Amino acid sequence: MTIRKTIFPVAGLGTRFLPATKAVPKEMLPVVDRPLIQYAVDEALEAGVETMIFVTGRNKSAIEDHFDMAYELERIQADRGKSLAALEGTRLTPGNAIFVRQQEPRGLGHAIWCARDIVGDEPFAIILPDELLIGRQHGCLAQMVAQYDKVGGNLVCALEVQPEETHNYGVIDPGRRDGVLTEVKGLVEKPARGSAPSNLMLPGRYILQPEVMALLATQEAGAGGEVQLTDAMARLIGKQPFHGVTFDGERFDCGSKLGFAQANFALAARDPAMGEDLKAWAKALLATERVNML
Amino acid sequence: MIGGPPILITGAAGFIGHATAQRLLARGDQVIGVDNLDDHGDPALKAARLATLDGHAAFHFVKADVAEPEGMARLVHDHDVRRVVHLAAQAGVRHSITTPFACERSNVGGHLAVLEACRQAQTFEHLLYASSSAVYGDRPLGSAGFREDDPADTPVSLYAATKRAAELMSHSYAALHGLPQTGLRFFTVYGPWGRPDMAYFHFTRLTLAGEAIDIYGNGAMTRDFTYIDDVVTGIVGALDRAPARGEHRILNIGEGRPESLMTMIATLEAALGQTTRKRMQPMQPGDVTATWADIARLHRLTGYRPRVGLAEGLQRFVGWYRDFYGVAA
Repeated sequence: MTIRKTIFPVAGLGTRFLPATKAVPKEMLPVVDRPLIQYAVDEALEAGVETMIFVTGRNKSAIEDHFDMAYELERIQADRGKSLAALEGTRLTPGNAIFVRQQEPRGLGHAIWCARDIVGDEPFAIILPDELLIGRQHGCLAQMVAQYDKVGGNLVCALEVQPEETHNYGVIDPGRRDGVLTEVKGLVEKPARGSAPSNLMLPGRYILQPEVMALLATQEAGAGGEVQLTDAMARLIGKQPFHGVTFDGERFDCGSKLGFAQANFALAARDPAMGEDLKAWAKALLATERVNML
Repeated sequence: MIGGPPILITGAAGFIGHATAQRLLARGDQVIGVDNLDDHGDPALKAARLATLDGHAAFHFVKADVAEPEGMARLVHDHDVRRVVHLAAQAGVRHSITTPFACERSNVGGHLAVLEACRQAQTFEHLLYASSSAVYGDRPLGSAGFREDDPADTPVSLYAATKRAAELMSHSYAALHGLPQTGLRFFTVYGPWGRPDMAYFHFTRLTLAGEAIDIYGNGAMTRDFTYIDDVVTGIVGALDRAPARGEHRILNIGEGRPESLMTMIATLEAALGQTTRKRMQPMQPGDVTATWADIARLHRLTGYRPRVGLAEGLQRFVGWYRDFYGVAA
């Protein structure tokens, strides 16, 4: 069964980016010239997804507006004979952008569960927009869908990290490996240093079977008093096929200021219109001008 | 002396080489200028320096690399060169850290090629070459200037090490072949047509551009700043007093007066008529804390006495800078 629906959990407060996120949802912060959420939606579109389900919170209406028609703007630009090319991909097919609210912050698992009636009885994808994944050839979700067509079941994106970094992440306990596919025997949240079963972390892309919704419904609050998606997924392991798909590309953790700045720089540096200028400027900026003293 | 054998100057497009060539030409010497015109430093400035020499009938420029032994030997032989002022080098501590092999090739290999060329000459009178105050290493200022027979065995930069190596090679050529030589240890030479990588030049550019300057060593550095005209006077004085066969003498050439880096900057700002923001930075790797030349030896030999103090020298530099770069006062 193809993946027609993707959930974007976007209810978070984005407090790490205050004051930028006081009035603007953090998913609307731009990386170069596109808001983060649009990278996520573009990734889903590339993978063949039709229905975008945004699990939002209060103060997130800018996301709805972003994927709507910008009537006034479009009219003025058209009257002036200006191109509307920059808006391409921001207006979704009518009926294909669905917004549901998570009234209170009770964890990722709870946010996903809020979309249960929209997802219904079919497999679905999840994209965490904070995690900006730039695929080498194809987007991350497209890479996962290609593997889903072979093995079905549940898939998580797996990203290879340095072994000394694994204690920061959820990590896969690996079984058999076959190319980019790794059988998932278990999921370990933030393993103690030196105890990680692999260096495959989970960077926030999932394809899950609808049964996970039933598990989330009965899920007790876990770490941090929140309903954890990882706990529900762990309960699927052994009952349904469960694989990791090693991602071929780059990850930017746009939930952190450093990752966000890196994403902006990296993507701007490969922009054909300004990349060379930016790199030349950065090189000059970083070259500490040292002098000879004698 | 007029019409006699030419004096060969290596590094003639460089700061000190250019000024020395001007002085020798002005008094009527024949000069052959050698430079590889590499792109270290500022190629446009090198070209502009050379352009001031090109009009002289007594000046002959040869684009060549001192680290090519055959070329150097042929030059000395073909022109019956008997006196060489060898100033070509990869100057400065910074380059020696980032491009160590280029530094070694120019400062050690090049020096050896010059020694060999001079040794092979039929009649040879004097090789005068550039060394550096850097050879004294990182030592405290103390209460007296650095003397030529003070220890110079603890270089803290590759640049200093190559300059000291050249001195030692020269010593061996004097012992082996009797080659008469003078090594001049330059102390922070500055002035018009100077090196853009030097602090005073760099600070001038940034100050006039309204940009902040980085002050290394938190300003706690001392230098014996030596004005270019005084240096050239010292060079010519020493050149004209050729050592005996087998003699290799080493001479400091400085102002004989240490000034703190902050004093230099304040003096420069006064000359510029404007100040700029300063950022204190730690010492750069390879830099020494202090230099101070004891110039008694050069004085005894040539009567050398520096004429231009720091305030006057920086004033002249700023005047040249504004004129050359078209920056109105």
